[in-house]
Amino acid sequence: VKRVLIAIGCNNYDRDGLDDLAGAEFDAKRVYDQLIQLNVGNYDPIGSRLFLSPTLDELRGALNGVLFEQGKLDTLTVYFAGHGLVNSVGFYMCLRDTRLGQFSTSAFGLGVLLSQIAEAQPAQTNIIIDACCSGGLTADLGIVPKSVSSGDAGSPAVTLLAMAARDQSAIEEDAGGVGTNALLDCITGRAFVQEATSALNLTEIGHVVADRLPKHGGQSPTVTSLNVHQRSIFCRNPHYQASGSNAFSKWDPRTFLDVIDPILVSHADSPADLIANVERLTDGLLTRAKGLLDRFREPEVLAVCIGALLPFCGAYPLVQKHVMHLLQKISDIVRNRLDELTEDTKANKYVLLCRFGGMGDLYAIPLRITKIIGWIGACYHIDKVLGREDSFPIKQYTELMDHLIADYPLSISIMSDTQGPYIALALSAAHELGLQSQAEDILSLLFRSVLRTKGVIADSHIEPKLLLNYLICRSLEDFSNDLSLVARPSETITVLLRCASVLGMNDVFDDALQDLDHIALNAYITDDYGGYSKRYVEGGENASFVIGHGIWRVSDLDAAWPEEAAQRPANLSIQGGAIISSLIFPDRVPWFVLAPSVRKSEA
Amino acid sequence: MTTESDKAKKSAPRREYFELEAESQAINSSIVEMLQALQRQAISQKLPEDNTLHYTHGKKWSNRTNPHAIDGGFQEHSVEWRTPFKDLVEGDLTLIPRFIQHTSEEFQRQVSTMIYSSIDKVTAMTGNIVSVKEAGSFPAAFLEMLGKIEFGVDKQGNASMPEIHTGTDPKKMIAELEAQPPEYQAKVERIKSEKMAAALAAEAARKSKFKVGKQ
Repeated sequence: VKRVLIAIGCNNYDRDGLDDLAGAEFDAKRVYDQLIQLNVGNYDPIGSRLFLSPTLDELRGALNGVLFEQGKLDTLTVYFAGHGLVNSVGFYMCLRDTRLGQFSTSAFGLGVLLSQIAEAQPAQTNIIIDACCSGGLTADLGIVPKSVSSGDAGSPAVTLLAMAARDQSAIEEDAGGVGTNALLDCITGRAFVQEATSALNLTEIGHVVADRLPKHGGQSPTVTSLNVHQRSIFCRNPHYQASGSNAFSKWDPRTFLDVIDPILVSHADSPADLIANVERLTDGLLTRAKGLLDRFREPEVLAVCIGALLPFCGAYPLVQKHVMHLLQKISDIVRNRLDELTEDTKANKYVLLCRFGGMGDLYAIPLRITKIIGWIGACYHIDKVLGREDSFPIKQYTELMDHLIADYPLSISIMSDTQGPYIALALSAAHELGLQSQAEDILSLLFRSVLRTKGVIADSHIEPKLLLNYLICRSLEDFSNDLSLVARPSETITVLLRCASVLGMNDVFDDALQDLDHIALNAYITDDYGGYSKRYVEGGENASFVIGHGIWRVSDLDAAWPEEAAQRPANLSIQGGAIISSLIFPDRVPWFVLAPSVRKSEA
Repeated sequence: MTTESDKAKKSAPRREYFELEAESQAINSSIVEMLQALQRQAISQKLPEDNTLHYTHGKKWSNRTNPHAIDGGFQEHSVEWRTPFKDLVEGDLTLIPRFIQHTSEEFQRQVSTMIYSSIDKVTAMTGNIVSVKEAGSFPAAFLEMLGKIEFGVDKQGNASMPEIHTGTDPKKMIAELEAQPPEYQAKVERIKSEKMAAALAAEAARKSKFKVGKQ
């Protein structure tokens, strides 16, 4: 996937009829220098070219090389500053050897460029022309090849920005062409375009340029788009960091990852760029997260960074190293949060009630508890990945669990199927740390809550507006009209049964399993933890079970349990990344943490 | 002794751990929406939706062309409900239906009080008050009441009978009225016919005031 920029500035005209210009090369160089930067336009510095007063042959030859000898292009951006001419056929860019009397053969026709684009088929093409009469390029749109103009899915998208109308001159000032100045203002952030997305496309920039130019008088830019069926990236949005508050007002790791993912696709072949872009996009958010009351927002943002980089861990040692660094950062922060929590729970029994919780806390407290113990349990598993589990703060974890069991016994319950990964991580960590008594107490409380509700727990993807319905149905013990609210099959109940096996509580569970007759269970086991942060993880297997139909005891589940569920990813960064991904996307459980292992106390 | 760091600790905002803001706020907003629906339902049980007006601004209203209408103002209805932290921590889900039922019943009670106190004010002003004690019996008071009130006309132009809201068992009152002699029943029917005719005549007169009056 490549982004290529061709910037052409023509000051010198050797043949008769065309005056030399003063600032065209300067403009092309400024645009090139800005866009080629990694954190601005991120165009490929090797494939991209800056042409200063080229001849027609020089440009044609180079363009052939760019369009047809570099493999498939993701984005092609062509910038031209110089004389422009228009006739009944179309628009022409005048080059060093263009003859005024024969410009249709000695200048570079836009129609020719469009034909080549149709052949090379870059996914997105941006053409910017800061030249007199450039609005005449609309004439070329009538003759563009069918593959461009058809509008069929997959046909190349083309956006054209002409800085002057067909009958207008492009004005130059001492500081450069006014159109190019306005364009650069948008790129550098001096002009505000929008703050909602991390990248800007040429269409929205064109509208801002058009709004700004009338102030200079006599120049009316036009923007034309063909086949723009998806959001394209012209350059980064310098104002996006300012919208960090938007990202937090409705914090959702998935939405945030959706913003980062498309940007990373353009850097898939450069690990340094991948890391740089993730850092650039999250730096501001991390600074803000540190100032929030929610003490777990900061590690959540870091976790999204890991989720974004996870697909690239397998290919690049540099990304692996960075993910390991992020894992350590998360572990450090979570250890600190454990200290704070231990201190706060001692000082205030009701510390887990939220400031705007209200009745909503009836749903939120059980989730909050499992999230807390889950993140801390994950911290232990990450420490194992980092090889520093011996320094894990067992004492504080024990104290916290004891507090929770004493102060929140009825809130240690299952509300939602999203609690599965947290329980798996918390109880497996507690087991390995030798906190058997705490793990057993918590598992008993959770299992009792499942028995009370007869295994009816909220679906992982329930819409927030339906949560009240779920709570009312749950309090009335009647879901006959709202079965869509319920997780069927449930992955969290599977986690409880697996935990019972790991903790040796089979007898307790077996005695009550009849009360969950017909409950459907599931365990999604991936075959590629590299893709574990995706919205839909591909491959793998959904291992399904039904209580009372093949599963009458915990040991029946053990016997039918897929062997591959125990396999940890060999790559440690992927192993840690998978654990972290399950914390921010809790509709997946890293089953390998529940594999039989040696308890710390037994080691 | 209080140290500076103690003071700083006390003034520092409380730390939160996984706010789950979207979920909590969605539940709380859904409860508010449900209460609003119940309040609308409570009002519609006393006043037809057709006769209910909604204002966006200000705190009072006046009817500038009806000298008999009394000026009104918004009245605040509030319900207090305390949820002890302990109940939330114990995860008692019956809190939600109990809260909704309590709030709904309290709103209904307050709406009823407001409506009847408004009627009371108007009848005190117009003198449209009938006393069973002074009339001598309930049937006599009922007859007197029929004589005093005006019948209305609905939007389809049909005369509408008055609604009777009772504080005691209506079955008992109806039985007492039905047990009256035929002369009493005839009198009631005569008054009803006269009132209906008067209501239709008043409606015709009202409509005739339009530029193109439709009968």
